[in-house]
Amino acid sequence: MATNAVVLEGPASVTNGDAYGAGLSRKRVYILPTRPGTLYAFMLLVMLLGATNYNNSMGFILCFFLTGLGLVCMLHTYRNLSGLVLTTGVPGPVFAGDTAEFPVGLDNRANISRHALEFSAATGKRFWQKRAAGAEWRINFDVDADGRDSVFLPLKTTRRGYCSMGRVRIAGRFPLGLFQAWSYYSVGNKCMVYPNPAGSADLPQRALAEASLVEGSMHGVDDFGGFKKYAPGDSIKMIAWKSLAREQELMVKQFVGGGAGTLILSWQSVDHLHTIEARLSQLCKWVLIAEQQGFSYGLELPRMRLEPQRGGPHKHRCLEALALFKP
Amino acid sequence: MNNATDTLSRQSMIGLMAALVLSVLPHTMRVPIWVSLSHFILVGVRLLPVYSPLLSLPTTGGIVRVVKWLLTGAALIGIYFSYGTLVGRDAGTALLIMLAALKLFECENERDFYIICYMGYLLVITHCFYSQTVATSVYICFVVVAMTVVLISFNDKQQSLAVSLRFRLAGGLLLQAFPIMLVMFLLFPRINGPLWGLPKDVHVGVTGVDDEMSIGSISKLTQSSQVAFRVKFEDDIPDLNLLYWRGPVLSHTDGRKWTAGRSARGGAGRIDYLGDRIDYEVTLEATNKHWLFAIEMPARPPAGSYFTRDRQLRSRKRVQRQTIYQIRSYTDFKNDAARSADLRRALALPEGKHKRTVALANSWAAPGQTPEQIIRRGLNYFLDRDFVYTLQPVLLTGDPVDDFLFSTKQGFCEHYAAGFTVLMRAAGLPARVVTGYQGGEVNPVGNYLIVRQYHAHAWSEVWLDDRGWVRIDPTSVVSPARINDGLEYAVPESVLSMPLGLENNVVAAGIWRRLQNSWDAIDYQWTQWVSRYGPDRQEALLARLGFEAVNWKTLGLGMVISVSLVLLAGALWIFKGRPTPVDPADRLYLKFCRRLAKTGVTKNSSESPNAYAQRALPLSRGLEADILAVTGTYMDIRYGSQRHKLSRLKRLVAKFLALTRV
Repeated sequence: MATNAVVLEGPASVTNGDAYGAGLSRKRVYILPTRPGTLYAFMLLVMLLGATNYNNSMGFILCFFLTGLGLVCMLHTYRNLSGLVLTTGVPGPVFAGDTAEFPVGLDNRANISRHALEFSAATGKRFWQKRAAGAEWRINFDVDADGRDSVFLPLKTTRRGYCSMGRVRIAGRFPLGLFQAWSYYSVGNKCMVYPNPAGSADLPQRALAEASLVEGSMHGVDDFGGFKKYAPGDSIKMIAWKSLAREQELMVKQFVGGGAGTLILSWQSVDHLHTIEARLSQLCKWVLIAEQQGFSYGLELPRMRLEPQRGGPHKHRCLEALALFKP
Repeated sequence: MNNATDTLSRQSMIGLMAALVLSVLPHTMRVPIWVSLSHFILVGVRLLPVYSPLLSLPTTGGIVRVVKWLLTGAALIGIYFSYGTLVGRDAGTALLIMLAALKLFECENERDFYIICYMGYLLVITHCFYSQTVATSVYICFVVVAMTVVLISFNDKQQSLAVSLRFRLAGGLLLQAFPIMLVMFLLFPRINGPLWGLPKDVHVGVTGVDDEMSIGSISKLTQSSQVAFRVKFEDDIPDLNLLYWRGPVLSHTDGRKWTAGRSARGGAGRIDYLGDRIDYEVTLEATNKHWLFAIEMPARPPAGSYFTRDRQLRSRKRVQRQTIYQIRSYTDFKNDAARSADLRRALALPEGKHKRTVALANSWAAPGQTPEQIIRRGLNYFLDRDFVYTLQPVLLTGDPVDDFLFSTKQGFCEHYAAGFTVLMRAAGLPARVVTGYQGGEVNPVGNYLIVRQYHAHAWSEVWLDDRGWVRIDPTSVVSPARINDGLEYAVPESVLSMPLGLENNVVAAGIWRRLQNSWDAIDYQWTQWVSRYGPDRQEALLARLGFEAVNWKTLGLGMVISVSLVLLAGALWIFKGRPTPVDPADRLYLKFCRRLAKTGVTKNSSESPNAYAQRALPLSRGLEADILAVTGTYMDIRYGSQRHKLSRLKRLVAKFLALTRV
């Protein structure tokens, strides 16, 4: 099982994968002087001319010292970035219009700490062009020596379905800002985007009416009604831990009374809306309300039906079905 | 990026202003007072809003822009008026100081911040144009570290480095830059500047022996303990009484002042060398004048210099910076090549002056008196009449020579030299005054001689037909201690070389003296190898390393290659691989894991050894027992502290490796 770890190319240290033999794909680290860096070179030239003209030995020394400083800074800036191992996690689902957060794990396997690195959107801007203000995001981070950390890269979502981040740019100018080292990283995992819940907050009349006819499955929240064996999908909050501690099986508490009943949210119930997106948004909202109000709900879409149930995982299944719906 | 003040954090700005002030401080002595004062005031004004937001000044707006332009214009005009120019060392430095302070008010974004930092670095280099001593270098290093720390602070966006760590990082960076600096310093092709004409202000006159002497001019020099030159002898340092450093020869007097007079044509003439030979090297500080100092008499003029008719050593170019020259002298000589014109000049006395002196001398010049006898009478005159050698003689009124010889009888070397010369001339012997330095101070730490301004001296030269020009030093008669032991011993109160209060403490005096000597020795070496490193020294160094006659292109190429090599070495060191774990158990287990990974199951770094083993078992095909054995033993060592099982682990891992060898 190979990890999806990516190392930003550095010589020597992690050439053959990590210590345990996992394969690592490598990304190139680029380095170039920044604008202040070129200004620095110009300053050095002025110093050199001055020292030569006045035949001043100390002037030469200072000029060469600062030249050496610039060159050493180049090595340090490169090292600050190179050798960093990045892994992507799975981002949590969001609703359309929200900002998805892609977790990226940072693994600093070197014994120096890395400072002032930043993630930013890969805009394809050339280094001599100015940064556009406002449109982009930046995440600054540091990682300690031998440390791990994670950052969350934001992505504004607009549509439902899967969305991915694509390429991001990771760069740093530490320590002196004379050089910038950067690399590109493809954020792998996709984010599930549910439709934006919108529409009426009242559950459809017909569904409600049906619910009252059907025998309530008595999944309420008021009176305790015994234990039942845990089945995957049951709410974890209901697990009776004490019975587990007593070395019995995993049991779930049951409550009776006041059950809100079952309802089916169907494609027909949103017929009155004109666009598919509006319908999906309405259904999404109803799913959320139904869950919140304790209903046991099912989803009926063209070519797909989800049996009534309730609970977190069921909610997510419904929302996912709505998100991935293809007409 | 919305709010500019976020990027320029408070800490960075404070650090920047502190570093800027540090780089300007030593200039306060050198630039007009209004320049440094305005700089500090402007920095103070800029500092206020950082500490208290209430005092924040508006930074945008029409009025503010006009004010800024006005201030800049005022600064430019002020500097132009103070210096008459805007370029050159002094004007340029003052301009930089003012502009850096003004730029602080134009500091909106990253680029402005960097520009101010670079101005700070440029201010640091201006110090080099004023002083190249060790002390200055140390201060410069410190300011460079401060500026580097400021840059680090600016780039540390998360402020995650403590201030002490920033200093450590800056120090580390500079230390790593040191080898590169060394290589470049030694190998960078040097051209003898200037590349374009130097502005006139670079070389300012320095106090020292001058080509005219009047009463009080030499004694004024005793107030300065500035080094005139340093001498390194090939053999032992000679006795002080042999060390007469010949300087300007003054033949013409108007009764009050002695000057060199009309320059005599022609070369120095022939001379016979008789005494001991002394070989030495002189490091002369800048004087902005032409003469070079050497022990009487130097044998051959060093390159770029020549002997005048008076046997004075003159350089063709002004000594505008520290100059080093090797030279050989002989302690005894016969300098008898003279033309009648010279002798006539050496007899001239101004009309109507020194009447009593002339009368006295005439009384000596009876027929039958040999010149030696006249000289003896002159010297005895000083001995017999209780003449006093002092730095603060009674003021002379009337005719200076008469007054000195007959009334006050107190004087310094210039009095004695002038008086004696007038006596000799009046008695009919050609004589002239020679100024220069006498003696010196031995620095036992470096075993060299320091000659300071307070060793300045004046003596006489008298012409004898059979022996030529002979040195007669009347001071040696009146104060032998001055010649034999030095001014510090003859007139101790004149030489204040110790901090007040310590003079009476012998031990403290000894320690202080030793510190001073050590410091001067360091400075001397520094001068030789750093400040004076130029094309000639570079050539000498390369020759010593075996490279002869290298032209600048090859040298440049060599430098680039060397710097690249140094960088490569640095890169290798910086990027060296993570050392394998030192713990032997860890190392063995790692080998095991790597081999096991070949079966397709790789260990996550966060997985426990047990979990990994469980995962690997289904795929292991016959190796289950070995895998479990290795894992178990490793866990016992690592987590059960059963270190004695290490040898067992070694065996098990070796067995596993053998079994799985493909």
